[in-house]
Amino acid sequence: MVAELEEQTDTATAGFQTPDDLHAFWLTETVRRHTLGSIGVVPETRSEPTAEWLLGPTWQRLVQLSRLEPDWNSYGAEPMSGRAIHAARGLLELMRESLGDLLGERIRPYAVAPVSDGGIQLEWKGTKEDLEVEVGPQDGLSYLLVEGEAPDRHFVEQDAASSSDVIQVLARVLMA
Amino acid sequence: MLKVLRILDDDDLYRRIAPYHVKSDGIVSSAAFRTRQNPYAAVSVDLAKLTSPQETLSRARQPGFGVGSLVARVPRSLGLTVEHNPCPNNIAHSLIKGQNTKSNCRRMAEATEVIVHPDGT
Repeated sequence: MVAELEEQTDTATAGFQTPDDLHAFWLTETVRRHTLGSIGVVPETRSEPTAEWLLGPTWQRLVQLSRLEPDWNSYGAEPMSGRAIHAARGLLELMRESLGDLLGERIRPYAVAPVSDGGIQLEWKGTKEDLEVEVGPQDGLSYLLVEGEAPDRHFVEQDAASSSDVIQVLARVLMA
Repeated sequence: MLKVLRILDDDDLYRRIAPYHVKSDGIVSSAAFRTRQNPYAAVSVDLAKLTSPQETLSRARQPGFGVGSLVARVPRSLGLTVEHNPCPNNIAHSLIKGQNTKSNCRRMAEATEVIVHPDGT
C-alpha cells in the first residue's frame, strides 16, 4: 500500500499543465500523507519538498498578479513590475531551499497582495508574530515584523533588507 | 468654489478595496493603504456622510471592487491628518495625509470594516 501511494505521488509530480493538475496533485498528496500517517509511517521522509507542492498556489497567484492592468486598484496603481515578480519568485525559492525541509507547508505565504507602486507583498502568520515582506518594483526588499498581540504589539520596520535578513526573520516568526 | 467640511473623529471614511486586498480571514491587507513610492503620498478616501458605498464603487472604472469603512479617529490616532478635499466630480473626496509607513498601513487596514466585499472574497 505504501509503495502504491508513493507511486501515485511520483506520477502526480511529473508536471502541472493546468491549475486542475496542481489541485489533483494536492489532493493526492494530502491523501497520501494522511494514509501513511494512519498506518504508522512517518510521511515526512522525502529528501526535499517540491516547489510545486509547497509553493504552487503562490506561483499561481503571482501569475494572476502579473496580468493586472494599470489602475487595477482604481486609485492609479501601476501594473506589477516584472522585476518584482521575478524577485518574489527568487526569494520564495530561496526560502524553500533554506527552510522547506524544516517547516514544510508553513513557508507558503498566508497572503500575497499587489502594491500600488507595482510591488508585491507577501505575508506570513506565526503563533506570536506576523511578517509582511514587500518586494518593491525595482526588486528591493523591506519588511514589517509585528510582535505580540494588541494592545501590547510592537512593530519593527526594516527597509533595504537582504534576502538573508528576510529568511532569518521568517524562520524566527514561523518557529516561535 | 466647493465647500470644505470639517471631518469629525467619528466620521466614517470609505475606500475602494481591490479583489486581492481582502485576506482569507476577512481582514483587509495593509497593501490596500500603501501608496506609491513616495512615503508622504496621501491616501484617497470618501467622506461617508457625503456619499454612499454604491457611489464610491461607481467611481471605479471597472466592477469587482469592495468598499472598506474606516473611522477618521484611527488615522488621526496614528499622527496622520484627515482632510476633506472635494473635487468637482466627487464632493466626498478626502485625503489621509502623513507618513505612509508599513505599520500605519497595517493598523488602518486592521481597523477597516469591509462593508461591500470585492469579487472573489
